[in-house]
Amino acid sequence: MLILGIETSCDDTAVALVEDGMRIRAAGRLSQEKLHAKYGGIVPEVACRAHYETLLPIIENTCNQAGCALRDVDAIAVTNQPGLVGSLYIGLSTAKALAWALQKPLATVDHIEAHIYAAHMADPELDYPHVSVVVSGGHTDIFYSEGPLEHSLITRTLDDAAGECFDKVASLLGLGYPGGPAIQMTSLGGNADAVTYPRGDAGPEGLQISFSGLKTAVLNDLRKRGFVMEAQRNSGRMLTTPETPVPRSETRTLSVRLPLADIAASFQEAAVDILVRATLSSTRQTRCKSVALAGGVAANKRLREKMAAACKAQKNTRFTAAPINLCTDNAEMVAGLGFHKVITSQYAGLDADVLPNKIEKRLRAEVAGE
Amino acid sequence: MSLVILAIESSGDGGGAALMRDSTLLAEVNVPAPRTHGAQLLPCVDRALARAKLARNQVDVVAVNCGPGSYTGLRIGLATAQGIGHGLDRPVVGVPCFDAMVLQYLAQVSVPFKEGQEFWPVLDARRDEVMTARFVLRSGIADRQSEDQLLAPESLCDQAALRAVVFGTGLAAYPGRWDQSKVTAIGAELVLTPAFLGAAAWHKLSGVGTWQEIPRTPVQPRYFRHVTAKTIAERSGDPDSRDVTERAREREA
Repeated sequence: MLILGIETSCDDTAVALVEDGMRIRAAGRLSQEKLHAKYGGIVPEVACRAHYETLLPIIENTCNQAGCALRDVDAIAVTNQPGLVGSLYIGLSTAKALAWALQKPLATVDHIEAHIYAAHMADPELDYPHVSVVVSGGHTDIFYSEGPLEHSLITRTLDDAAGECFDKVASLLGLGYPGGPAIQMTSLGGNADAVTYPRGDAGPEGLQISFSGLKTAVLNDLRKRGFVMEAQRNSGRMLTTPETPVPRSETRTLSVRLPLADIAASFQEAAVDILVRATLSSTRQTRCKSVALAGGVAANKRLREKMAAACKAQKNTRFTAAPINLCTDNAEMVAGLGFHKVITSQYAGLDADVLPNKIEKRLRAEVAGE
Repeated sequence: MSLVILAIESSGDGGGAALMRDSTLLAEVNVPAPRTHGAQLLPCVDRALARAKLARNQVDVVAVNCGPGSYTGLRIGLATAQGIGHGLDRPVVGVPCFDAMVLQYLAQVSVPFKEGQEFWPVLDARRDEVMTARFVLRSGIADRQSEDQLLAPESLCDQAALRAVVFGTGLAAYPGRWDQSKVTAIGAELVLTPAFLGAAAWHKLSGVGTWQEIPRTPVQPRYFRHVTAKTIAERSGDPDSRDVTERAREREA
């Protein structure tokens, strides 16, 4: 069964053709990263305009790549939640119209569930139930997963998402956007034990996740080292010396005196530890024997490494991470999960709508062992 | 030779879908509530087709409002129209909003107008401005005399010919600012219907024999403003600084 997957929930326009939920026939993706870089973050209106212009051409290209026509597709799957409302509407409207015109079934897919499914695409033997960790620029959620479409929330970040924290710290360090790859790169060769940044309070069950304290600790550390923040609302922030604001071109030279690699590595270590701790607590609480890691931040090498080691150390818990190319937003995971919706006849109607803010089902008390 | 036109309108609060055979309306279905295009536009298309007793592949061309109008509304309409066109392998044509509005105004007002009469359809563009364009009646047809433009109500009144008719929902956005000694501000309740969008499309396509002759070019939405978000350089006056904190919250996975 060949499924066309469409993903436009944020700043990536992605299309994929996937067979039986596993075999990727073709995939196309256009990242808008460069469009948004000059704004220092994603501007929803810019994202919508770009999605509209690029989606149909990418669909056409992807079909050509796979050597098939749209009418050969058995069903269409599209992300309709959660995400930026205007962006979601481009994908959903296009998918609905194509499905209607071609008289094909349509399935709407949850973006977060699709991320989790990406781990299955790499590891078909990953069994249920398992603990799913979704870490990205917008989410840091841990789920108890009983099937490709059955997930209940165990815990999530109290404040910033992990990726958001990487972005903010990268910005403090003047490393640019997006912050994840920049921090990973800068941390190479750095000493992760150079600074002990706080890991935050894990709470009584070890499930509490918070990143705002970590971000503030890095900021305070920079201040202590003589680098203060020129913090103005609605203006760019940059590293400056206490007395006079220094233009960015000169801060670059100043930054050399900062042990950037050590700070980046130490921060990364702390962020990874927060995630690993909450994950291990979740497996203990649910007595799960396996863990799946997914989402954009799951591409971080140190996180994959440490999570794998920690799982192994804790009763040899099975660990699977989504393949790096399926960590960031993609349509393979949407087409893949869409297959499971289609085979269980969970079709979307012509009046399907977007759900920008989804509220997750919480973990049931009997699983939580209460 | 006749053309079956599927017209899609979602630029404002209302809208829906209409089917025309040339200038004859076969069916029209409007969205059940304001601003529900995201969910309800395609069901309108489906119902209109059923009411007209037509099959999907009997549609020859898809016409869609290409703006100006609500950005999200326009894009829902455009994405839907392009998706249908692509799926049915039929051309999609964009119809400028004001062309359809003038057509509807002239059809719905029973007063006869003189040759040379000026018309300015207006939509609210916020920030003290309306979106508009100038039309002049020539041989019974409203002829477009300007590109779409942004104007303050006062500038429009100054630019317009004496007794020019200014109409459309943009009037109500700026009450008391339409100088009635200069222009005739009337018809604030005019809401464009899918049928008149279809009629405007038919006008635009007159001279076309078959749908195969219609060029396949992607329809570009008419945005009336550039993206207003400030770049980092604009925010800080420093062309090379970077900041994500303000926008980070808008990020999703």
